Amino acid sequence: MSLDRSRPPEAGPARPLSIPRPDRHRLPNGLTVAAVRRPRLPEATLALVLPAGADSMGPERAGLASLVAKVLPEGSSGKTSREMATMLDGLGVHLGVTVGYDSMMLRLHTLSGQLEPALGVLASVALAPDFLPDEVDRCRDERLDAIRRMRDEPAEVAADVMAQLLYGDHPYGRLTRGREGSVERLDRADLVEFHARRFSPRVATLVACGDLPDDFNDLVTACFGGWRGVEVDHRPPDTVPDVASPGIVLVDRPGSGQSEIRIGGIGLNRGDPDEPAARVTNAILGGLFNSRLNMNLREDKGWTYGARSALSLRRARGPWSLRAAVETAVTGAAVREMLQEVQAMRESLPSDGEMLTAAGALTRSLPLRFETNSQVAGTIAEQVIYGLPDDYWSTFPGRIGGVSRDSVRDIAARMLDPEGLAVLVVGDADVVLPDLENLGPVTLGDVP
Amino acid sequence: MTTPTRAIQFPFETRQLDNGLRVILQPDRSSPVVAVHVMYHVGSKNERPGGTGFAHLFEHLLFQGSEHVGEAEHFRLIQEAGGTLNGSTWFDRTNYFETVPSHQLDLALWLEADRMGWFLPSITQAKLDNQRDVVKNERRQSYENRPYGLATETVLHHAFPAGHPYRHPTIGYMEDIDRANLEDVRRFFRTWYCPGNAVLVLCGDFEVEDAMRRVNRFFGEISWGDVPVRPAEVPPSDGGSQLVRLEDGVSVPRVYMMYDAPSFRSAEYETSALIASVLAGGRSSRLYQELVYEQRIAADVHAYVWPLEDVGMLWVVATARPGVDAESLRKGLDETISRFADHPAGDDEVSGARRRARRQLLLQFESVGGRASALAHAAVLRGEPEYVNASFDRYGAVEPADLRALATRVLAEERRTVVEVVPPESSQASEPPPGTDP
Repeated sequence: MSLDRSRPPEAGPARPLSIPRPDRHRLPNGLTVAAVRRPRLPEATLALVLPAGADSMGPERAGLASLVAKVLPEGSSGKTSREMATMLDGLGVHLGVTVGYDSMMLRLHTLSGQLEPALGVLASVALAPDFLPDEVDRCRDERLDAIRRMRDEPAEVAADVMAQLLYGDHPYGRLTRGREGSVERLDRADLVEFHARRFSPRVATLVACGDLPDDFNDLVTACFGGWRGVEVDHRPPDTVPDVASPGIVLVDRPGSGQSEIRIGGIGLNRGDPDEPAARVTNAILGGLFNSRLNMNLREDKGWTYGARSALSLRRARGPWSLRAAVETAVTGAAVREMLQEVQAMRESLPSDGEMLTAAGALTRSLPLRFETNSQVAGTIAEQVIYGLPDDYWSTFPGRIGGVSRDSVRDIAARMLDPEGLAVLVVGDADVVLPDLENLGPVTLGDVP
Repeated sequence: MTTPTRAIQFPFETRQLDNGLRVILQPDRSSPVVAVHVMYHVGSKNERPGGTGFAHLFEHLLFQGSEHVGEAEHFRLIQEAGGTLNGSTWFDRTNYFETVPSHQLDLALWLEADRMGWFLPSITQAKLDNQRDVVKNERRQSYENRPYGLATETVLHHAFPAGHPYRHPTIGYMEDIDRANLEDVRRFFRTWYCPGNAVLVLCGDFEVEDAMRRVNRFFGEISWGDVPVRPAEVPPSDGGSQLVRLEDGVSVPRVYMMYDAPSFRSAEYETSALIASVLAGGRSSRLYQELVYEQRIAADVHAYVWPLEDVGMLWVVATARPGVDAESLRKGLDETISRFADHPAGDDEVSGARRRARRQLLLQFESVGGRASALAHAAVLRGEPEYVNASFDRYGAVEPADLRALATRVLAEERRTVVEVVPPESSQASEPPPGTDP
């Protein structure tokens, strides 16, 4: 029988996916250990997860959590920065400290042969940082350099200004690295205090995935058992301010060959009952290659290398925004098209085909989400940060499958009102201003 | 306690279809996913003068459908099935790849086979014009409108003589992208996209004989085509030393240095990678300690090698701190790099670099997609997919004496190209952007 190439082949039955569940163990000091043994390769990922993100920083202290993260590996337990670096590099270990709005994560990847000493280094960095004055000064200078250097990057400028437009003085109103004015004023005492108040075994979880030895819990106890921390009294913000829509804002970047466009509003928080509907809506609007924004601006018009939208789910309501970098000459037209795509989502129902593609991409991709040890560690860390139950992912397809076409239109109508959305353009004002003014009043913004 | 790392082996089989297509199958049933990776042995180095950027533009067109696959359907079908996909073009090769839940293997094979065998009937002027615009916007977004974005292509332009295959960047120059026409598309496809010039790698959840039957079913009837003739030998770089200053919309200077180094095919490739790692592979590395911590003249410094087929490139890139000029930064780099001769890398430095390299290999091999890519690169660029299994041990076997011997040859100021990217006002004479040579 010859092969019929005219239609896609039928898929066979799916192989069952076993979603890894961590073994949980609690040390007497309160530290939770969540471990998944997957000895496929001689390596392991560790992540110490702390609710010590950039969520409490008012404008005057913005960037504090992020600076703590930068200084942590630069000297601890009496060892200098250089000694720590020599130890880590000699072990071949990668240690990265990342800061989000809701968490700080010390992430370590190692060959399993070096797991035991690597665990010791991780404990030292997290528990006993010395915040050496010279290192604090150097790190702050470097951070300030980086903040200033980011003004050269149009996409970075757009991200920072957009945060401000949507959230004002709320912690989400700036990038986690902070701004020049606040970082300049941070000193060693701020860092020491942040560490003392926010790092505690009672709120921390050590996630581990990979080729772990049988006595892994004993090793953790040896390294982390002596950790004593205070009761953490920090309460993350669960509300966001009601900031008036700024309309269209233009940040001038003379000579820009492209304009960075951001259009967005405040979306929803992680765990909102509307989260499944919003995820489907976002996938149809701009979350996938075949989404409306990209098919219009890239595949039809050729105006951009890519247009997309992103739904940022945080503890409090995160942004929901559209983005594209388009060639300068079509800036006004691109903004108009993007707003029209938003309007179309609100006015008419998505097609059955769009619903299928969105749901398929969101739910059938689970096997890919749990493939590698670093992915599994990351997914468990996310569960820890947002308090998601262990069956969150096994029940996820059912929640997405329950989203109707009506609920997609309804949530777009409710949350993506073009009148209330902020429109930001970072580009060459001489060229783009007249076109933008045809769309509405334009305010000129500054580079933060 | 530190223990020796156990050896790793990914057993695989190599087959060849009657039409010349090489197939590599690496079964791994630990997750219900499979990676399909097709690599064609053609890249920007095979472009004609005046036709730069074409291999990459062509890669875009291969996502625009084929005889049985509608426009934009390739992305939709794979994403709807829960998979991920992409393609990329570089100097030596072009690759197309997807990772899908394993029961969707046929879908990925059908899509890849259709564009290998039935691409030409679907191509239109409208598709070419649209993707030309997309690619020009890619060039704007990723290179022209990004600080330091033109540095790398400026290095290449000055490092290699006119007409050299590695002289121009994969993205190509704007005026050349404008020139591409449908006849070029047809000729390029016929020249380079035959089964005999490709490798198909499957990695993941399948049984070898069953997968091979499926491969035969979808790819078996694609016709032969002539395997392209390649130039016998690619000349090395100019061999001289060049220092170029490039103005850009940046607030602080950045220095790019590129040294002639062993190619990916060389027995010394891993050694060159470890030299880069000792120079700037971590915060304890020589350049990082000296320039970032001690002298505090650099904000960051990186060193890396590119795995290329016919030439080798070892890059050192450092960003100045505010107030530090490009010349001081370059001199600082040179001082530390030149010390490699008198103070060769010691046991501790090399052992750490070996571990970092092996750890990074495991990060790549961890996913079926990463492993399929590694097998494809080894098969196409080295002609030996076995390299993937050997590489872990090869990095482990590099000794300090190897670094010493190679560093003496590679880290020579007479055999490198330097581009200093500087803010507009501090520049004396600005460098015109590289253009195409006849």
